Amino acid sequence: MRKCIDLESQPGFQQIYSPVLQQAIDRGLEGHSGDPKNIDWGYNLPIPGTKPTKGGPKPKKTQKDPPKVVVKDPAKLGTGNQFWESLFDNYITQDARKVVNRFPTPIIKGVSGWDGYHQAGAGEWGTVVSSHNHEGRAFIFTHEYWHALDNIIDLASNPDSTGLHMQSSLRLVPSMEKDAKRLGLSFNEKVYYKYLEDNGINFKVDPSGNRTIRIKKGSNRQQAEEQMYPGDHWRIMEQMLRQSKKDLHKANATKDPVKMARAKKLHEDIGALYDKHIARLETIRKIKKEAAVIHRKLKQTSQPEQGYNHLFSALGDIFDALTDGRVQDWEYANEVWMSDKGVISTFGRHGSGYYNMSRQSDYGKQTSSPRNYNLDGAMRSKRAETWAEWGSMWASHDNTMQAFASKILPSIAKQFDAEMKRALTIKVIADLNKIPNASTQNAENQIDSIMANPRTIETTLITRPEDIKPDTIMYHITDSKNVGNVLKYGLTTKNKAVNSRLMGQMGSGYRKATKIFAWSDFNSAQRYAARSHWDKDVTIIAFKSGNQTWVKDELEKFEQTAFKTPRKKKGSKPAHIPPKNITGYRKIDKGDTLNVMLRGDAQARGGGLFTRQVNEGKIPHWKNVKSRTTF
Amino acid sequence: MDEELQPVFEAVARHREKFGVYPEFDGLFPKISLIDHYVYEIDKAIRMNKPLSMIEKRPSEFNKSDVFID
Repeated sequence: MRKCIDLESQPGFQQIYSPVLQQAIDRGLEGHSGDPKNIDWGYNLPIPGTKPTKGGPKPKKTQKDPPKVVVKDPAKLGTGNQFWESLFDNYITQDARKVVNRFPTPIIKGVSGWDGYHQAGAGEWGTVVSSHNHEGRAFIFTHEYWHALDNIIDLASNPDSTGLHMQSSLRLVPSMEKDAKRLGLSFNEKVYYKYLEDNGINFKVDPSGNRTIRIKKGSNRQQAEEQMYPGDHWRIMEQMLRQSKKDLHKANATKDPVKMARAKKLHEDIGALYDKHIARLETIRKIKKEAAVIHRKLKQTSQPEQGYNHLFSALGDIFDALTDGRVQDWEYANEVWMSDKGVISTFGRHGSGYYNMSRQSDYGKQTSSPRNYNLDGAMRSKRAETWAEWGSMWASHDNTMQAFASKILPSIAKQFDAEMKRALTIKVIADLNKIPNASTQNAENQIDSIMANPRTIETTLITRPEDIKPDTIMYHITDSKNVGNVLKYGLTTKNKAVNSRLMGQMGSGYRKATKIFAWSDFNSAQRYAARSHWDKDVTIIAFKSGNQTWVKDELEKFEQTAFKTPRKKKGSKPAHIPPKNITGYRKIDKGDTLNVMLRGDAQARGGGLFTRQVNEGKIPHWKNVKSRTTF
Repeated sequence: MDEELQPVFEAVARHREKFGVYPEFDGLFPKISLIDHYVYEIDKAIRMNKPLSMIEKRPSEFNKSDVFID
């Protein structure tokens, strides 16, 4: 038997870190001289074929509930949300709770592990999904809730709200632009996109590789960006600089003064843009270095569950937004992403393509599509995340990171403070729903709420055209594709498919409407949509009737509240509801179908909706779907 | 921050060495309390011989621009 020396006691052995050597030792020097079976390793050999595991065991999640505390202005989020209220009571400021309490509550769903997102279009006031068992859950819930407030504040307080989502953060945009320009984080990139439009670009990313970046001449900004994978924006910048230099040499060779001057100007402009990109890297590095000092102090002075150690990344993400996510492209192209030479990837950031119109992923053709297809979409992501990240800092008990951020980004700080003060004083016109948590609400609650609706809703239905006043709210159903046109031009008889009753009856395509169809009662419109268009993507539009006249829609025999505009007389103007009369819109979803089912079910149980208790048998319900009882 | 992220840097480098591409994470990144999680997920992907892309794994509704992740 071969004798082994004791390596661990040899000088310098403890300093050796070699996964390859460790693997070789663990596998018993397989393939080396000598049979490992004959070596005394001092322990049982691992089973052949197993691979070394790194990274340790799966991270554990916390299950501990936040402590019960007595605070001023405790958070009020409605029945079933006590856990989330407790998080707010523990980890956000009194002012922040006051803001939360002034507005309706979105649907809140708890999930296991680190996860969180906000979906503005799911539910009347949107949906917040947030981790309930991760140590940073207070941070993530606050962040998601401030996304929800971005959505809700405007919807619940603006009487002229068009029903568009995420409108509160719009007011942050001028301050974002001001700070970004002052710091050199944002600048005019016209020369970049003009070059692509005029010349296109075609080059191999790596001379030895197979990948070619190809953007066709004539591509506008959106068309160019949607061809870019992570890193390509910067690769193109570098290629543009190289190419413009070559073009300058070519122009100089022609001795044509016009061509020479033009090529020189272009090369200088591209060079200046290149320099601005490099300069902003340095700016972010400096800010990051200062923020890291605060971060280290916060880590020492705070408890993990407070989530203060995430404020560093929250600040970094604001810089990612202010730079359109393009610093990440520089990192990808220079192969320093998530390394010690990284800039924004080691500060805080969202995924590639989150803040611009480029592709989101290097993987898979199906998931590599862009998130945003226009600049408005990209800007929405930028302002929404800036709002939510700043909200996390603003709501935090520890003010040091926010104070630092305010010094660097004073305009955003001032505007955000103004927005929060406004939120504390603005008149809220929506009902404070404080709806039960989606996971705890059951179908019985839902049907009870329908049963509890005052009967007057039904008795005051408008069934005669002469009772429709200019302020009467009416409802129209249309193909969701038409919403843009409707918001722009109002309800007209010219738009295809605004005639909801005939929608989709013509097989391929929709036919032009000659009248506008509408309901004076929300439930009737909802019932119509759920019954006749359950398989289509349709939107309900609420509008004030204004001066438009109406006649009964006799074809809708069972709907007493169905109306249509009268036949157009020769020489008279066609029916029209102007855009200013449109008070809101949203997509018809499962919540509508559920409400129709619940109402129908209640009626089917005899005597109907308003007279009998419904507490026997099964009641229609869908998991995590809340019945939509109102518009 | 960089010193805390060192294990992630190493894990990312291992991923690049194995697959030639970066691992992709969703939402706000990096989160300090998730360092163990990042390393675990990257090494799991290496063991399973499949590059890590949380963007690819996520539900399609996340690709809509009215969804704000983390």
